[in-house]
This record gives sequence, C-alpha cells and structure tokens, in this order.
Amino acid sequence: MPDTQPFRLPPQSCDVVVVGSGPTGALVAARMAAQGLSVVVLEAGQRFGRSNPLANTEANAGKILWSEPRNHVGHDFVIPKAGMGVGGGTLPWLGVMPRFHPADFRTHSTEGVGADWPLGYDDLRPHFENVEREFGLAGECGPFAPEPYPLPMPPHRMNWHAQVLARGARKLGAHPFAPPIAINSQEHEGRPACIYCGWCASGCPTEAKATSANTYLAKAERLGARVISDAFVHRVNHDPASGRATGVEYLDSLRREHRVEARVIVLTAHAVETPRLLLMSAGKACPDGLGNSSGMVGRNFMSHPTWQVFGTFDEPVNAYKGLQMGHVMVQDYYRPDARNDYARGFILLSYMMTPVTFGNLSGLMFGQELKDFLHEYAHTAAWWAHAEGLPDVRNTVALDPELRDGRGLPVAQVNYQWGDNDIRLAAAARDKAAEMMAAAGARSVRIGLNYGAHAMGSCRMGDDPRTSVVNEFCQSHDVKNLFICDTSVFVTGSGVNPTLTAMAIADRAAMHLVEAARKGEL
Amino acid sequence: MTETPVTLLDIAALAALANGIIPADDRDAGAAAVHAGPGIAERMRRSPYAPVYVAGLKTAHELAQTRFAAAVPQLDAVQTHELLTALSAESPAFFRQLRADVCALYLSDSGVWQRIGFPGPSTDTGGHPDFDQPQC
Repeated sequence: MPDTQPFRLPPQSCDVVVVGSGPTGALVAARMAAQGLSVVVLEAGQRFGRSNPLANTEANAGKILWSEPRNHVGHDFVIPKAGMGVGGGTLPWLGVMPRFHPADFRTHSTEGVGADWPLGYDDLRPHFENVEREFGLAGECGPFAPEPYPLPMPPHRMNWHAQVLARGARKLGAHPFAPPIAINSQEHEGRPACIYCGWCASGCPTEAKATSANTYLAKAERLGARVISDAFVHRVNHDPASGRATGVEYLDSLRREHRVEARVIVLTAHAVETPRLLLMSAGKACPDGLGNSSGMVGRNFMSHPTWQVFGTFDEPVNAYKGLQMGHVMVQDYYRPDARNDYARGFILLSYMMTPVTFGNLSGLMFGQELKDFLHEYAHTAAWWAHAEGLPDVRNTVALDPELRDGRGLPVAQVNYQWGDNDIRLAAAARDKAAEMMAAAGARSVRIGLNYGAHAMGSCRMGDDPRTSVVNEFCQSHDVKNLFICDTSVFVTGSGVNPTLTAMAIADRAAMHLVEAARKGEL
Repeated sequence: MTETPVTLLDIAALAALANGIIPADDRDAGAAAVHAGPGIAERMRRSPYAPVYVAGLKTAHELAQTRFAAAVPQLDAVQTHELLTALSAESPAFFRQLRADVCALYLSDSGVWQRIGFPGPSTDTGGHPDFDQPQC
C-alpha cells in the first residue's frame, strides 16, 4: 500500500481486466473482446506512436525496458529483460519463437529432474499453430523440431554474420537453420518486410517485428477493448465472503488512485511483477498474499543460464546488419543424452548487437583489454549459448522488507542461485559455441557475459493446490475468477525461448475462459 | 523521486573510475572523451539505482585510502586498475552498474561509432540490403 493517501477516482467496471499488455495479455484481451466481452487492459508504461515514437537509438532501452528498482540478494545475478510500455515485453524482445518439445513438459518422468507439467505438447499443439499463424512467423521448424510444421512466412536469408557462424557449426557436423522468428521476411498483415537495420531491441522502427501492440492488442482495440497506459496496478481486490476477486487498483502517472471492477481478472505482468502483485494483495483472509494458500507464489523462480561467446575474425563481419538474434540456430544438442554429465539440453543462437549491447554483453573485463575488444566490433561474431535452468524452490521473488519504489510500494526482492546442473549444462553450451567459433576461423575466441535470460516459474501450474498456484488453465486454485497467463505459470523452462509457449498456454486459458463465458459461468 | 546529493569528490572519483574502465590510448581519450564522470554523476543523481552508486563510491573511497592512502582521483592508472579489480569483488553491483553506464556513454557517441566501424542508424536510408553478402 502506498505510504501517502492518494486521490481516488470513481471506479470503472468491465467483464475482464487484464494486467499487462505484453504478448499474453494482448492475446487474452483479443480473445475476450472477440466474444463481445468488455475488456480493460492496464499497462504500467507509456504508449508509443506517432506523437511518442521509437526512433532507432539505444537510448530507447531506457523507455521500453522495465527499469524500476529491484533488490537482487541471491548468490547469482539473474536480471531478465522485461519490457515496459504498451506492447510490454515485445517492445524490446528479439522475436525468436521455437516450440517446446514434448519431453520439456515431462522432465521428471524422463530424466528425474525438475517436475512434470499438468499439460503436454499435444494439449498445446493447436495453440502453437494459432499463435504462429496469427502473430506471423518466418523461418523453418528445423531438423530437430518436435514434429514438422509449416510457418506462414519463408525464412530470412542468413546475414553474413550467421553465414560465418554456420560455417563453423557445419564443420563440427551440426545442422544450422533459420529458426521461427516473429519478424516479417515479406510484407504480412499490413506490416512491411524487415530491412535488416538491426535495431530490433530498441523497438523496431519499421513495425516489421511483431509486437503485441501491432497484432493482438490492435485487434482487441478494434473490437472495443480499452487500453489504459501509465496504469501501475498495485492491488487485486478480493471479497473474502464470496472468495472472488472483485477488481484491481492502480496508480496513474500523477499518482492518482483508480479502481477497476471486473468479473474476471487476468494477470500477465511477467514472472517478477505478477508474484509481487499477488503478494502486495495480501489481506485478512489471505495474509500471505492473494492466491497463495500453497505458499508457492514467488517460489520456483527460473531463468535460462546463458553465455555470450565471441569470435573475432580477420575478415569484417559487420554483425550489426540484420536481425539482432536468430538468423541462425543450432539445436543439435537439445535432446537429452544419457551419456552427458548433465540433464536436459541447450541451443545456440546468433546474437548480433548494436554497440551498447555489445559492450554490456562483453563480460566483466575492463581497462585496455575492454577498449581493444570494443574496437574489434566490426570483426566480431557472437553465439548466444542458451541452456535450461531447472526449478528450485529456494529461488524466489518476494517483497523486499525495506526497499520501496517511487510510489511507496515494496520492490521485488529476487533471490537466485544456479544449480549444479544449470552450471554444467551452460558450460557445455559455452564450450560448444567456442569450439564452433574456432572452427569458423576466428583468430581469437572470447567468453563474454554469463547471465540469466527470461523470467519464469514464480506461480507454477499444477493439479495439486497444495503445491501449485494455478491449474492447467491458468486459473487460481484459491480464487476462481483470477487467472495468471504469463511465464509465471511455467513448471520448467525448457532450453528454448519461452514466449511462444507462454502465448500458447494463454491461448488455451483464453479458450477455457470463452467456454466458461458461453456457459454463463463468468 | 528525490535527488541523491553528489559531491565534487564523487564526480572526480567517478571520472577517475570511468577512465579506468575505458582508458585513453592513441585511439581516443576513452571515457573522458565522452565526459563520463559528470554524465554518470548526473545519472546517479536521478537514477533509481542511486543507492548502488552511493554504497559503491563509499567502498571505493575507503579502499583507496586503505590501500594507497590517497583519494580515488589521485590514483595513477595502475592503482586505479587495482582498485577496480577490488571493487569488482567487493562491490559487484556497483562495478557492474558503473561498467554498464560507462560503456553506454562511450558507445553512444557518434565519433566512437566511426572509430569502431559502426555506421549508425540506417532505417531512414533503407537498412542494410547487403546484409547477406560478404562484408568488406
């Protein structure tokens, strides 16, 4: 609760309120609006457009990245990138969208690590297809896909950077390919083909990159959904007598208090802010946080352990020309192999960067070594070695007992430590990338930053209300009209980028909600 | 948000540490070429991460006194490098934030872009149609 008593405005009401305008929130909003339901989407950040454009500059990172304070208290720094603004995480994201594999949902059954999900690949197949078609993906499913599947647009031609990387991969017998990516390889749904300017993470200046704002959210607004920006939701209200959530409260940019009453509340604020919001919504009937009778809100927080691996070549690479990530992927080492000294698997992705990101991902070197490296920018290529991080109940998101944000609200306290398997697996990925870089002809190979990418798992789904927060349809076990439709609900993280799977899960939850609406159960 | 007070000694210390992150050489003046010290001090004044800077600078001042009996701005290049090495271990959040902010300032400068071989934004000129061709 804010320290000062804010100015309160009269409540608004709707059928469905969605907290967050990222990929999953926008998708749910569009599905609900298509049913004729009244929908309000609340977004903490600002709206970008003609009067507030995203030009191609890295200064945009300050506008579109979640930059509010958090307190990192664990052994390891895991600071996953998250977006802020209408479009959420899709504003700064890089668009790589491979499918999870069937075994990714059954890690405990197949390898004795992690935990099994209450749903599987077959449950999500139609929803993968929906998102791939509607969001607009280009690329190939690749030689190691869970099954062959088509995508609506042809793959992008590999940029020179990717061709250099692929050369090394092939020399080691791997099978590089152009993975599914939500950036137009040709004009699609009124948006242009990519011009390979390389500013994907700064908010694509051409709209060739699919964002929730230029796809599902635009559709939702055409169907009557109302999107309110600069709306920081800090509480989900709850009626202990009925056991139902009644709406949310938010602060606008002038710190005025608003209330939205709704029949259904859908949280899509990502895996740090969603548990923070539930914990901030504690009350007499739920002193440990809303929807938290299991005590699992904020637990099993996960990320992907990654290494940046650079190779510097005599020839110019000019890796800044093209898609920032995913002109090429190697997935040969993804399927678990009992001969390995680790469980699960990893992928390698090309990751080219504009200069500031190049500096940040170069690692922790400094002094003349750093400066010499920065000046080899045009001759340097990079693999992103990306592995699975297993869930651990000790990795948590909690409310910091002391630190407050500018609104007087407790900030998220993130406590993280990589497990032994995470470290061994990520090291194998790093070493394979370095080997490929040398095989491609790099005159020097340098290991860059080791960090956690993507945030997942802090409100796990499951069949048992004692050990999970939501059911397989993202519905709170405790509060039946409260849904969590973001990566918080992941049981494990797989070794691939999570957005497609998060959207497929949200699509499935939305279908469940639509069916409930048809039956009059809302 | 309330502003964090920054002293002249803090600004001088930030400039010295920034020059240790990206030093001068025959290419350019490094962090000093983009006035990183005052730039970071300004960020520190208004940043939500100001407490990280305040705590880190306190550690830096203490380490400089303990190890070299001198203020941070008075250290030579070798001593500054040694101090930064110590800070990376003893104050990792500060070291990472400082390094990131110095890199961001240095690598946002159009003169630096030219020197490292980055041509800058290309959207208005149609992007990079030669993206898939051998580069020269």
